[in-house]
Amino acid sequence: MLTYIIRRLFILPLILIGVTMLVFAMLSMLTPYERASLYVSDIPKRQGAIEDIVKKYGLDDPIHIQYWRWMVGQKDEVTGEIDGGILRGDMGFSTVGHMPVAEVIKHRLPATAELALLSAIPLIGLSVWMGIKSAVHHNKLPDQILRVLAIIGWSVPTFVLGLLLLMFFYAKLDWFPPERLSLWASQIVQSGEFTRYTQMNTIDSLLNLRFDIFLDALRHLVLPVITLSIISWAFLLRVTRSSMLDTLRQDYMTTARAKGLNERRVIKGHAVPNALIPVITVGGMTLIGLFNGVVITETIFNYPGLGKFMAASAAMLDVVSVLGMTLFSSFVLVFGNLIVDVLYGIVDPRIRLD
Amino acid sequence: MRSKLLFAFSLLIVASMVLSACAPASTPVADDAEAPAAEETVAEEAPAAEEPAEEASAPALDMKNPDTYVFVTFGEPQTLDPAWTYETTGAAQQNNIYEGMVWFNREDTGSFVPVLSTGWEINETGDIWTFDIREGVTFHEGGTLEPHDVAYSVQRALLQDRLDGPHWMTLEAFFGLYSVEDLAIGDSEKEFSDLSDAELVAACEKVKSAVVADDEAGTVTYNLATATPWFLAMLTNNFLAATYDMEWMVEQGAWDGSCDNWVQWHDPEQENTVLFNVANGTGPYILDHWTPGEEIALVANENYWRAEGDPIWEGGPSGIASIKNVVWKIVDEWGTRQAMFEAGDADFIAVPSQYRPQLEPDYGVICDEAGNCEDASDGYIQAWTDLPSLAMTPAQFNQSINVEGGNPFAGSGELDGNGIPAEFFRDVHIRRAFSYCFDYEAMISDALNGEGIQSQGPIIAGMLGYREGEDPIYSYDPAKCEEEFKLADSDVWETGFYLQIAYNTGNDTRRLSSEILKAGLEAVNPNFSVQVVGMPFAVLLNARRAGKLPIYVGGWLEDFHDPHNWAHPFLHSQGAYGRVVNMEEGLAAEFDALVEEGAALTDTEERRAVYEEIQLKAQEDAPMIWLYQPVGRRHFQHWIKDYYYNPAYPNAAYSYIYALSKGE
Repeated sequence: MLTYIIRRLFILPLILIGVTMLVFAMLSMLTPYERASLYVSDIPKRQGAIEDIVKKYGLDDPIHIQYWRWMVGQKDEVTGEIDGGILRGDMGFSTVGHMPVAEVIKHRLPATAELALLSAIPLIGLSVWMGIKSAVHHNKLPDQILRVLAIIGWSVPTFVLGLLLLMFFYAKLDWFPPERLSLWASQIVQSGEFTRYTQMNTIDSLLNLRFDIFLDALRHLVLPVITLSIISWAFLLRVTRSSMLDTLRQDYMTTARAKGLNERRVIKGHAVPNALIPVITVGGMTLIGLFNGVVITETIFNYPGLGKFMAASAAMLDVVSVLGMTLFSSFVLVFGNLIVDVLYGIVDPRIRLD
Repeated sequence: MRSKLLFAFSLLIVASMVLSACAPASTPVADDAEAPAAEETVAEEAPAAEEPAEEASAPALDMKNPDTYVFVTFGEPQTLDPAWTYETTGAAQQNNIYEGMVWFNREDTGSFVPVLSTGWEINETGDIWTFDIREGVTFHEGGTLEPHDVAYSVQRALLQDRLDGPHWMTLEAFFGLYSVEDLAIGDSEKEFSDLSDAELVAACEKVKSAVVADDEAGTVTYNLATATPWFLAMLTNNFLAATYDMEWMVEQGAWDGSCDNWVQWHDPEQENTVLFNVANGTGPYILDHWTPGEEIALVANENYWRAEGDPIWEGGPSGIASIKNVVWKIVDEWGTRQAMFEAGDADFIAVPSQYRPQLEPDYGVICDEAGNCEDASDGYIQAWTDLPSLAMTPAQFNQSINVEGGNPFAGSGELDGNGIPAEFFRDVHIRRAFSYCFDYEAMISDALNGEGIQSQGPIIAGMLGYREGEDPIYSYDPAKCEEEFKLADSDVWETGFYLQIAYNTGNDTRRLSSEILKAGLEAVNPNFSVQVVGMPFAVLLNARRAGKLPIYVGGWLEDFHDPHNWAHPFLHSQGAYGRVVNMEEGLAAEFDALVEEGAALTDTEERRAVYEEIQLKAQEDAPMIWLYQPVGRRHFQHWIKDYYYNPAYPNAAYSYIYALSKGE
């Protein structure tokens, strides 16, 4: 197992470099003048502005030179210092995020992580439990009800659900507002009297013993958590149900029953552990997806996370941000996949990762 | 059977949810899907009035956050450095933080009141302006204003200059050039990067001699290249006007005032100036924080220099700002902004034109441009309507299209029924024919929801040079369109043509303008074929730069309030648009002469005559189809008081919060 983990960790940088090369190659399909449009808001008013921008940023240099410059940085002609360079830990300045890309990720990741973690609890817990119940009561009333709910949850578009929830529970009832905090709470959090330990409002408010802010943060999380959870919940429920049904039909289940085990032990001891193996894969990847940010949910609820940032970067053709976020997403995906694989081996001893 | 029933039932539920979500709002949202988006740059500007909400009937909402002005919109500044800024979002923030020599006299765009000056003198030739600097003014960080701070601020701005920045117009005023690099290069044939230290120092010295401070006399003198009647209007722009504390700036690592090393601070990236995300002005508000992607917060300057009872204009605000906190919230999604407005968490929201009908049933009070307000219902919204914006959109003909190597926008590149030749639009009759084939009324009523004014040339309504009381020459007239086509030098009427009109995807107003023109042309002659093509802005920009677009629908948002800022960009051969429409040489020379004549005059009536002549000629020679000037609305909660509409503010609902207050 350890060898496997180390081997995967060694491969990680190679995968990341491969991803960056791929994305960079795709960007080369845009002309230098198209990429220069990032630096202007409309048709430039000064003659030659676009040409000067292309020249200034070297956008017409050969792609391999641009790639190398992005990887190792370049010398500033005036100050003589080296600017940028992924290998120096500098992913460049995000025009959309108004700060270095690494800072943007550091600044926004806690918000996304808080949302993802809080979504994961109902998401994984409920969906697995309901999926098992549904399979155990196959074609009975609980199964039918859960299947209907899963179809509804799976079918309603996120933006429709999010907007409906927002209009009813916020605009009409004023119960669950969007964003991360109310104005009053935000002013306290921004002030010097509140210490930001993790940048996650729920945790920081507890650590600061500000239960009023904790409750306010929870109020703001209710709708995005519901919106975010519901589709993944429906999907995971269906995966769990399907996996559980397959498992219940296996011969070893019949054997277990033949040995005289009661149904409860058959289900808990033999069916569930085996049925959860594909659920771990799907659930793990779903959770990784949440950590990369969820564009629609974050946009509707004006939730300042990574998803909203990624969408804005792509829309604005912010090449630096797109590349930085691609790197980050690749890292999360590869690393998360590694964790899932390891868990896989732990849950199912039949799978030997070495 | 039961499972099938349940399945059918579930489908029914899903279908009903989706249908109800897609159904129109309970409000009369006529033609919502067809309604166009206004030009983004002018989508949300504001109007003016006097104590409107007091006349409103009982509103539905109670005031939240009584000390805070919550402004909910999309977009955020590129930087907070005034000298770098050339967009309205950043400029709007800076208007509350920084001050300059003068500011608008309330809603009057042509009259100015002293702010950091106490008065000014102009020499006889109109090219030397001397301002008396106010005493007793302090910066947010504690420094005291002195004349050298003013001169330093302007010199830094000019030397900093940047690609695609605003200083093409300030440098034009001071030196008759469009960049500080051109100033340094002078008559030399060198590249800027090849200039010697002595040449660079000389350029800096020229800039320093253009703005001279006298700390003892308490004055600052601006030495301009020529008479500049619009100089006060230009001085309301923070890229030229914002005043910094020189000593504080140097401490932060900004240019130190020496000519030996100014290039180090020239043409910086937005994040590489010391004022990128900090501020230290003299204005009524202090920057509290800017959290990118989320919000910008300001707090009232409790040490503001303006004394109680010393209003900026007659009856205007004085002393410490009435509203203690300001929050500019960045909310990109319309539905979320609307929900925040309905919940009372937003005092103002940006409303794209296609969503305006959704709010109309909740209009409690409706005010016009002059501030005359009427009760409308018991709704919670204070709406300001019919607000002309300082923007105008024409369809620009390219009189020398680049057809080399093939150009899909021009089809075959020949007048053979499948394309147009390079100089197709050099024929004035063809340009006039296009102008007659455009349905202006349809554009305004359908695409702009009736909220627009048909333009009569480059100069917008209400401005010096606008031909008051005169209708535009062109209206939708297929007969005249046909007549003009038949007068053309070519046999275009018999042969027909094909061309493409491109617009940037997402800009519905540009799309609709193009489609209206297409419909008009194709209706008048079946041999005419126009294809409207949507493409990403980057691709459009590239095609435009290459001179390949036969027609480009693009607007102008003014930089300073003077007809020169309208005539020059569109009609002068060196103007932002004038230089890329490739006007025929003789016509270009005629327009150049007129535009320069208007700029050189100082007498208002003489200028009016010249600009009216320009306006008329711009219609007769039709270098562009003069389409429309948008009219906007602003939406506030009923508890916002003392609002007025000044269209020249970078953001008319945010640029001078000092004048606003909140109250039930």
